[in-house]
Amino acid sequence: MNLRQLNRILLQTLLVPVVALMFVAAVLALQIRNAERTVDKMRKAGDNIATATRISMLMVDEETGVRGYQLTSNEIFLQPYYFAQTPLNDALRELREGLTQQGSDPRVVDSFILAHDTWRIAFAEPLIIATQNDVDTRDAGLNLRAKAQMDYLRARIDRIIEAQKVQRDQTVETWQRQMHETIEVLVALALIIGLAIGISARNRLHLVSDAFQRTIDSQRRAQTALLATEKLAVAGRLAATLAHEIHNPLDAVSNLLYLLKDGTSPEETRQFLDLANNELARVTQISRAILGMYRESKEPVAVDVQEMLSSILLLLDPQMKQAQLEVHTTFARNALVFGFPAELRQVFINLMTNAIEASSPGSTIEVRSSLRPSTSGIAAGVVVRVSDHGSGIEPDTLPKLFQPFFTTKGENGTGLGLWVSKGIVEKHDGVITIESHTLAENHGTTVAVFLPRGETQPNPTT
Amino acid sequence: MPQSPRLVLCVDDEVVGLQVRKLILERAGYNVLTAPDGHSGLTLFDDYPVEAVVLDYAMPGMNGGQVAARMRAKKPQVPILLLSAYMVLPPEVTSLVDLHMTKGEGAPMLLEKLGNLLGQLQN
Repeated sequence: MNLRQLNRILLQTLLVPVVALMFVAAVLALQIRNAERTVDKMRKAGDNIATATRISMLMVDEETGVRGYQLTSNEIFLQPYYFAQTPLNDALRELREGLTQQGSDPRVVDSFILAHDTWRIAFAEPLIIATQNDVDTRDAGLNLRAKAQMDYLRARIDRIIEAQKVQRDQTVETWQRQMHETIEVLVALALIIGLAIGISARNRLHLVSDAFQRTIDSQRRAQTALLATEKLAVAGRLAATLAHEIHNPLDAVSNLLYLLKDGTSPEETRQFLDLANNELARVTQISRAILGMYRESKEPVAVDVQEMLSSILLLLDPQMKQAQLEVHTTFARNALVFGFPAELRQVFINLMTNAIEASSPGSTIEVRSSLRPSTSGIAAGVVVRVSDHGSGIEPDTLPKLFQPFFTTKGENGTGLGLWVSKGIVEKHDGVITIESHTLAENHGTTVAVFLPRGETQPNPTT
Repeated sequence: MPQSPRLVLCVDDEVVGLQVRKLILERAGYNVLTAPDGHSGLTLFDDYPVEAVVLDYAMPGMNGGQVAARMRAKKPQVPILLLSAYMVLPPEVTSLVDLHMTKGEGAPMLLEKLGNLLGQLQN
C-alpha cells in the first residue's frame, strides 16, 4: 500500500459519515417542511375559527342594535348596528379568503352573505325606517320570521366553526403522526447509518492493517536477509584467516616431507619429523577452535566467557600480529552466562575486529571481563569490555553506529556488524554501549557488553 | 645447475616454514639468505647481490606487497616470487610481482617456478 492509497482510504472514511449525515439532514429538512405546512394549516383553521366567532359576535351587535331601536326609538341604540357593518363585511371577506386558501368550499360564506343580506334588507333596514316613521313594528309574524332567520344564520356560522374545529383537530392529528414518523425515520436512519459507518470503517481499517502487516512481513524478511549477509561476511573473513592459518603449517609439512623423501641423515630425519609433528599440532588446534565456534545450539547453554574470549583471541592472533598490536587481557574467573555461543562469539569477533581495524600499528587492545553482582533491579551478569587506542569516534557519529548499513570503513565494511551485535546482545537481555574519546590524551573507543547470567533461559520467544 | 650458485632471498615470518624452505632451496643448489620480516629483508636486499626473492605476503608490520614495491623501486630487474597462504590476493599486489603462488602447492612447484624466473632472466 502506498501513500496515495492510504490517503484515499482516509478520505473514504471521512466522506462516508459526512455523506450519511447529509442524507439524514435532508430527510430531517423534508420532515420539518411538512410539519411547517401542517402547522400553517392549523394556524389558518384557528384564524378561520376566530373570524367566524367575530362574525357571530358582530351579528349579535347588529341584532341587539336593531331590536333596541325598535323598542326605544332612540337612535343611540342603533349605533352597534351601524358600527358592526364594516367589520362584519371585512370579517366575511376574510373568512371567505381563509376558506379558499385552506381549500375548503368558499360558497358556504357566499350563501351566508346572501342570507345575511336578506335579513338586513328584508328585515333590519325596513324595521329601522318604520321605527323612524313611528310605524308599529310589533307584528309577531314578522319578528318571529326575523328571529328564525337570525337563528339560521347563527347555526350556519356555528357549523362553519365546527367544521373548522374538526379540520384543526385532524391537522393536529396529522402533525402528531408526522412527528412520530419523523422520530421513527430518524431512529431507523441513525441505526442504518451507524451500522454502515461502522462496517465501512472496519473494512477500510482492515485494508490498512493488512497492508501494514504485509509491510512488516517484508521488513522482517529483509532483516533476516541482512542478518544472513552479516553472518556470511563474518564467516568469509574467518574463512580467509583460517585458510591462512592452515596453509602455513601445511606448507611447512609438505616441504619437510619433500626433504625426507630425498633422503636425510637419521639425525635430520628425527628433527624434520618433530617439526612436522609440531606444525600438524597447530592445524589440529585451529580445527578444534573452528569446531568449537560452529557448535550451534538451539537452546541456551552455559558459556564460559573467559574460554570463549581466549579462543577468539587465538583465532585473531595472526590478524593482531599483522597489525602489530599487543593484546592485554584481564579475565574474571567463573564468568558464566547462559546463551547461544555461536551468536555471542559473533558479537565478540565483531568487536575485536573493529578494535583491530581502528588501531594503528604498535598500539594495544584491551579485552577485559568482570563479574557484576546483582543490584536493585539489575540482574547479576558478566561485563566484557573491548578497548582500542585508535583515533576515536566523533560525538555526532556515535548515535549512528548501531544503525544498519552505517560504516566508517568505506568499501570494506558491511555496516551491519554493530547492528547485528546489538540485536544479539538484546536477545540475551543484555546491553551494549560505546564510549569514545577523540582528545589527544585519551583517544580510543571502548565497547562494553553486559550479559545477564540468565540461569533461566534468556527470552525463549525471540 | 648454472656455473655459480644463484643467490636467493627468502622473507617469511613463519620461522619453521622459512628454515625448511631454505633447506630445500640449498639442496636444489641455491645460496639462500633469510629474513623474518620485511625490514630486515629489505636490508639484505640492499646489501647483497640478490638474484631472486621468495617473499611471503602476510607478515606483521610490512606485508609482502609493500616489501615488493620497495624492492622494485630499488632493483626492478630482480624477479620476485610472492607466496601467500591466502587463496586470493588483491590485483594491485599481484601486478607488482613476477609470479605468485599459494603456500602448500609443494616444493617441486616452488623450484620449478623459481627456475623459470631465473631462466627467463638469463635469456
